[in-house]
Parts: sequence; C-alpha cells; structure tokens
Amino acid sequence: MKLARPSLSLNPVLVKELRGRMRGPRAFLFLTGVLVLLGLVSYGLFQLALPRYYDRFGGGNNAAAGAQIGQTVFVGLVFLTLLLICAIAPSLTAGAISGEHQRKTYDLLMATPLAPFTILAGKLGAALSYVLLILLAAVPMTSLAYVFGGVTMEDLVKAFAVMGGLAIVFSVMGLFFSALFKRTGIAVGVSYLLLGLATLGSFFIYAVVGVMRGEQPPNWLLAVNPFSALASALVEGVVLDPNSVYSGSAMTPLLWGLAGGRFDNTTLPQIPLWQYTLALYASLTLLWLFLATQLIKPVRRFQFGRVGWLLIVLVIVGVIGALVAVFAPRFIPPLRAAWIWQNATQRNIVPNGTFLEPPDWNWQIAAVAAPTAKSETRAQTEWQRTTVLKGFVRVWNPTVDAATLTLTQPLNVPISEVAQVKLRLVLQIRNQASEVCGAAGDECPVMVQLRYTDVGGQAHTFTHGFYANGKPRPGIARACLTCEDRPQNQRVNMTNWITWESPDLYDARTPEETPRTFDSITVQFAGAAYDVLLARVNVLVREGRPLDFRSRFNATPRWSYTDALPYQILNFLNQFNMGGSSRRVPGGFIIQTGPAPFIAPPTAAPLPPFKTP
Amino acid sequence: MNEPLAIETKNLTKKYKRTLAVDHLNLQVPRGALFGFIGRNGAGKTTTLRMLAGLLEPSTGEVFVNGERVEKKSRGLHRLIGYMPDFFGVYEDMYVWEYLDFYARCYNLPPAQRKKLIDELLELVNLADKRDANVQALSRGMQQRLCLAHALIHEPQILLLDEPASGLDPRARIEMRELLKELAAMGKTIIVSSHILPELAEMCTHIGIVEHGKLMANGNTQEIRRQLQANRILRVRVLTDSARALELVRNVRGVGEPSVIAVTDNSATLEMEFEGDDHAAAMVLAELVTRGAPIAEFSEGGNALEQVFLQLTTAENN
Ligand SMILES: Nc1ncnc2c1ncn2[C@@H]1O[C@H](COP(=O)(O)OP(=O)(O)OP(=O)(O)O)[C@@H](O)[C@H]1O
Ligand SMILES: [Mg+2]
Repeated sequence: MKLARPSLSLNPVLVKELRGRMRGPRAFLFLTGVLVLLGLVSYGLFQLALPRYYDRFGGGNNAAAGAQIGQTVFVGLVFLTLLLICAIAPSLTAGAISGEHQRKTYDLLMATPLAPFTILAGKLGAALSYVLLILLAAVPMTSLAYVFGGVTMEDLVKAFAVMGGLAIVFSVMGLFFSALFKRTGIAVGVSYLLLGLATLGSFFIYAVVGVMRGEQPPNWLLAVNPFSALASALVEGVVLDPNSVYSGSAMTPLLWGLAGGRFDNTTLPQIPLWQYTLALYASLTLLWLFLATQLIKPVRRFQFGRVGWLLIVLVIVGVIGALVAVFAPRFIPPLRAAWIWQNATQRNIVPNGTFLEPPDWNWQIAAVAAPTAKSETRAQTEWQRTTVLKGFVRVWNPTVDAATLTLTQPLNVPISEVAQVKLRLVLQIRNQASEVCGAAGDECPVMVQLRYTDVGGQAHTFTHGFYANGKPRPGIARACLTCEDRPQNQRVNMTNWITWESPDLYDARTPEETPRTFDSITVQFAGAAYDVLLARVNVLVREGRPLDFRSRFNATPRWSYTDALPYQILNFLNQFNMGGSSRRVPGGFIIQTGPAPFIAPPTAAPLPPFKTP
Repeated sequence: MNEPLAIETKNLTKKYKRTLAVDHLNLQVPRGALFGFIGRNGAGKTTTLRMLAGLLEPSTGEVFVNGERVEKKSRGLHRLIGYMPDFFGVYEDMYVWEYLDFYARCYNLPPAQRKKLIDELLELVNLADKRDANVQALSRGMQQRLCLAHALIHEPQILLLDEPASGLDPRARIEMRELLKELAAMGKTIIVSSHILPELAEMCTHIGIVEHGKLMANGNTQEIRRQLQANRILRVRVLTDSARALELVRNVRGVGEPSVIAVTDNSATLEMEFEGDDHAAAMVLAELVTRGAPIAEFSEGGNALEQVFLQLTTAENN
C-alpha cells in the first residue's frame, strides 16, 4: 500500500481561478483604473489642501504645512481605498459557489476528493488576489502622502492591516451567502444590503440614538461599521500625543465623527472602536467560514461524528466560558467592585480639561489688573481648537504692567476609596518678561491650585507653579527670584511644550487627610508681559468605585448634534473655503478665534477670590 | 470465493418533496461488468447515479462499494469512482488542457504525470487537436468527450456515466461504444445509463431496467433476455410476394404467427415470434430453405429487448 505523501502542491481551485481571473488584459486594466482613480483623487486632495495649509502656515518649506497636507491626502486616499474594497470584495466571492451551481460544474467539483475548506480557501485566495491589486495600487499614493509627513509608518501599517482584514471579512461574507443561496444574484444583493446596513445603517442608528438621548451614544453602535473602525484605528495614535504636530489636519474631525465621537478623558474608559470591530468580525468570519464549509457539502451537512461534535461543544463551552469570565464581573454586584478596582484607569475629573471646547464654556474667567497698574490693564485670552481632539487657551498680558487672570472651575466631585490622585498639565510659556512675578511678587506666570476637602471635613489646597525665567547665567542676575524660592514651583524651558505630572497627591497624605471631595481647580496667570499656552488641565483619579458621571454631566451634555456625522461632513467641507479669522504667530502656532460655543456656558455662583497660599 | 460486488444498493430510496424518485432499489453490479442502466425520462437513473457518486444523500437505504458500506466519511470513495453527469457545464476562460489539469490537480497528481496523462486522455477521446482551444468553444459532443476524459483522469475502478452518448453523432456513438468496451476490457466496472436500448443491449454484460424508481429487472444481459423475453423475434425477407411468403413461413415448427412488416416490388419482410436458442433458429432456417423459400435475409429482430422494454413500461402504465 502506498502512503499518501504530504501534499505541498498548490490549491487547485486557487490555480484555476487565478488562471481565469488574471488572463488577458482584465487584471491589467483593473489595476490601471484603480491607479488612475487613486492618483486623480490624491491630486485633487492635494490641490484642495495646498492653499489652505500653505496660506495658514505662511508658505515656505514649513514642516507643519507639509504634515497637514500629507495627512489630508493620506486619510482621503485610505478611505477611498476602503470604499473600493467594500464595493468590490463581496462581488468577487458572491458568485463563487452559486456560480458552480448555475454553471452546472458543482457536481463535477464535488465528485473530486477536495475538502470543502480547500475549495473555499481557493475561492477566497483568488478574490483576495484582486483586492491585493487595489491595495498595491494604493501603496505608491499613500507613500507619497508619507513623504509629505504627518503620517507615521505605524499609521500606514495600521491602515493597510485594517483594510486587508476588512477585505477578508467581506470576501468571506460573499462566500457564505453564495453557498447559502446558490443564486449569484441573491447572494450579491444580500451581501450589499448587509454592507449598506453596516455602514449607512449604523451611522443612522448612532445619530438617532445620540439626538434622542442628547449625549454621546455608546461608540460600539458603530462597531459594525468598517469606516468607523478604520477611522478609530487612525486617530488612536494621535490622541495619546498632545504635542503631535500633525494632529491638526482638516481630516481629524472627520475621523472623529466616523469613529463615533471623540474620546474624552472625562468619560468612562472606552475601548477603541476598532477593537470591538475586530472581535465582532473575527468571530463572524470564522462562523461564516464554518457554515460555508458545511453548506457546500453535497451530502452529510452538519454531520461531524462523535469527535467532531465533541470539539464543537468544547469550543462553544469555551467561548461561553470566556465571555462569562470576562463580562460577568461587571454585572454581578459583589464582583463588580473588584472588577472596577482591577480595571480602573486614571480618569480625569475636570470637564473640558483638554480645552476641546472654548474655555468660557465651563471655566470661569476672571481678569484683574494689579492694584499697582498704571492703566486699565487686562490679560487676554484666546482659544483655539487646532483639532477636535486638542484645543488650547492662550493667555497673555501684552503690557508691562502686572495683570492676573484666573481660570476656575468648581468640581464638587465626591470620591471614595481613592487609589491615586495626580495633576497633569500641558503648557508652554512663550514669554515671561517680569523678573519679579505676580502682582505681589510671589507668583509664577502659571500656577495651579487644587482644593479639596478631606474625610475629616478639613479643607486643603495643593499648589504648583511654573516659571521660565531665572536661568542662572554668569553676570546676569537671576530673574524671578521669588518663584525660585518656593519649592513647589518649577522652572521650565521657554517656548517648549511641557507635560507635567504631579506625584501621587494621595500618597503624601495621612489617612485622615484622604480626599473626600474635590472642590475646585484654578489656574492662575500672573505677572507682566507673559504669554502662556495652556493645553490641558487634568486631575487624574484612580479609584475603587465608579464615579456617577451621568448626574455630574447633566448640566453640560457631552454630546450634541454637532458631533453627528452629517454635521462633521459639512464642517469638513466648510474648512476648504473658510474665511475665518486665523493668523499666524511666530513659533509655528496658529491663533484662531474660536467659533462661538455651541452650548451656553453653565451659570454658576462665582468662586471666592483666588488666595495665595 | 465470493468476490464482492463493485456496487450494491440495499433498499436505496430517494424521496423529493412530492416524487419518489428512487424506490427501494436493490442494484447489483459485479466487478468488471459493463452495466446498462435503462429507463425512461424521469425513471430515476440520474438520481440513482448521483447517490452512488456520493453527490446526493439517500433518503433511506445503503450503498456498498466493493463490499464496503459507504460510511459517513468516505473520502476514498471519490478516488474509486469516476463520474460523468448527464448535464454539466464548463468553466469560462479555460483551455482544454487546463480543464483536465484542474481535475488532475484535484486528485493531487504529480506534475510530470499530469502532463503525460492529459495528452494520453485527449488522444483517447479524440480531442488532441483541441488541446489549446477554449472549453466553451467546444461543441456539445466534444464537451461530452472531454467530460469523459475528466472522469478517467484518476484512473478510477468504477465509472458512472450518465447518458454519455447523448449529443454525440452516430460515428462518435460507435467510437464511444468501442471506448467503453475497451475500458471494460481493462477491468473497470462501468455503469452507463441511457434510454436508448439497442445501444446498450449490444455491448453491456449486465442490464438493469428502472421504471418510476423501481428496478424492473437486473442481471446478466442473456439472463434478462431469457427471463423477460420468452419470445425472440425472427425477421425473414423472402423474394416473393407477401401472400406466398406468408404461406411458406406459416406452420414452421417453433414459430408463431408471422406478420408482414414490409413489402417491396419483389420481396416481403416478415416477422414472427420464436422460442428457443440460436440452435433452434438454425433449424428454422433449414426448414425454410427445404420448403424452397427464396430467403434473402434471415436475422433476429434487433429491437426485441426494446420491445420488451416498451411492453414492460406500458404494462406498468396501465
Ligand atoms: N432536485 C429535484 N427535486 C425534485 N424532484 C426531482 C429532483 N431531481 C429529480 N427529481 C424527480 O425525480 C425523478 C427522477 O429524476 P431523474 O433525473 O433521476 O430521472 P432520469 O431517469 O435521469 O431521467 P432522464 O432520462 O430524463 O435523465 C423525476 O420525477 C424528477 O422529476
Ligand atoms: Mg437523467
């Protein structure tokens, strides 16, 4: 008896399909067509983006302008490519099995000893080879965008991985329906119907839920949406780096709109959307493949023998067990506390602490001239949203007289079982003229104060200041002597963005001084001729019990109709013919008068005046 | 001693929603047989063959191949059996050699063997000159022969051919017949279905007749003849007018009442029922000659089996 040699040969179905598909000029014409389309679109995007960013950044060889242009072209291209894939992938496979029935070649194929999975794999491989052509066509174009800057290699890899993965998902979907319906027409119809529901349908549901609830809907509503998944994969990297140059292209709001709204530190920790999509589609794809292997068998469908059934039962039990193990703790009260403890991440409790919205939305701004001022001097503020995800306030005093400005926000956040409390600021001191800072000569240009009440009812204030002057240089007297005198103050480099994070405030306390309520937070700007950019004021709390966010945010809804996709698209289109008031300031940053806040600032009782410690 | 049958079915039944396509079929095909499977349109031939090929699930009943029950997982079955359906299509955008190459790959034949085999098979089915033609550009008969070649590619022991001769021109039919005989001589077991009886009666060693899903007869061709057809038919052409011919032939021993079936200017063709073997037929001829009948032709009525077949089916219909 001859032993069967382990087969190293190619999948016969794949060979056959590729011979057919790649023969003649068809594949070549297809590739050329896709290349031309992508080329035209990227050229168009470039032409649209060029004047916008070129003007804005004052022209020249500006890295920032290049980055913005690069990002615009990249995002546009990637989404077009995904659109092409969605439009083509199902049709490549929807006829795969039904075609065998309709062509009457099914019996011949089934009379061969090929395993059902081999047949499916061959059909899938052939379809994906076409998708690969699209991706190949996209590579040179996106590489051009990469050259412009604003796109990292990680973005490129991620975009292509997501598109490739989605191509597999939709090809398998077509394959499944082809095996199920045995009629190509129906399989194609149902595939595209489902795809339409997953894209347009999910956007619609998302928008409706958002408008009805008046707050940001759960982003998993968009998990089935391939475009949202791609968008979320692309913005993810940008969020984490507040200093990223390229977080400012016109594409970013669009990305956020697609990805189900921006992530805000003030809400519960969210899993990036694409991870939901990955889990959902990976399991769906496996299920479709499994069902398809059974459906294409001419006889003995869904008959597996004892071992087969045992395996299937094991898999089902395993999956259910894993789901229970992962999700049960969230819903079973005694386990829930432990789960939160386990999973609690740092959470910011300062609304609009990232200045996504204009500061006067919820910060109380008080500008006072120093008593010694010779004229009516006021510090000024400007707010700019360079991107939806990152805004900042500029506070500056253009005069040589001292003037103070405070940004205050009442918090009144009760907490318990605090594990950790940290303050985080992102700021830049662009100018600081005074040698003696502050009106009373004992304040830094930027100081932050966090007030809280401890478990015993005692009030506390945590203070930290930043100054830029005072670098000891030979022969020159040290500036800002007073700032340096205080250990809680810190010198930073001028015109550099800095991210500062405090040590754990909770660690430093005795048990009696454990914070129970955070009362308010204040950022004070003081001195003469200072110019400060403040991008982030966060109080990061890690605790053992969830905060009641819902009630806290009732006064200021976190989501508005402006976050819905249609608005974002209009917004996006508007940017190309904007005549808004923006101007360039030295240092590469744009100061733009922010649009009027969409939501009226909450009226709250004025805080007691700022007291120096 | 008892060699297992190549194919045996026990109470094989296939029921579609309304129709009982195959009804408790007990088929027995010995090894090396050239088995003619005969039935009218809708008799259940295709349904039976597809069940034998493992392409259709029987409602009840069992199939045995080489004495082994076709079990739940019988991947080996596909390597034993070559199947040619009655209606089939071909893939688009494919050359003739690619068509065979595809199926050869499906059976995991090594490349060198593949190429040689393809050429040999194309030679066998007379399509060598069409090697690089597009399969869709082949005529129906050519596709038919190509499909037969495909069924032979893995050198199966058992061939299931569903109406292989339909669509073939008369010459190709004869060639097909020769080809089947040749394959049978190579020791393959072949099951051929058809509704055209003479085509099969001549070459088949065994015959099964199916009607409305039921097996009416199954066995050795000779046996069937004897079993189902008590009377053979003799055909005689006598060079006289019909009245004289009738007179001459009437009352010959062992022959029934003759009937005139054709008359020409100087001859009449008669047919008569006849019981007995070839020996007895020779006696009949001798007697006719001694009676002085000017015999121009003496033959067996070719369509005897067919008549029985027709008789059978009409009987069933009544
Ligand atoms: N897929 C099907 N669904 C329902 N009934 C069917 C199906 N296939 C066959 N039948 C019925 O089963 C019976 C047997 O059909 P089958 O094709 O086996 O006949 P056949 O002997 O091959 O006829 P022909 O000589 O015309 O090829 C017919 O009555 C037919 O209508
Ligand atoms: Mg038939």
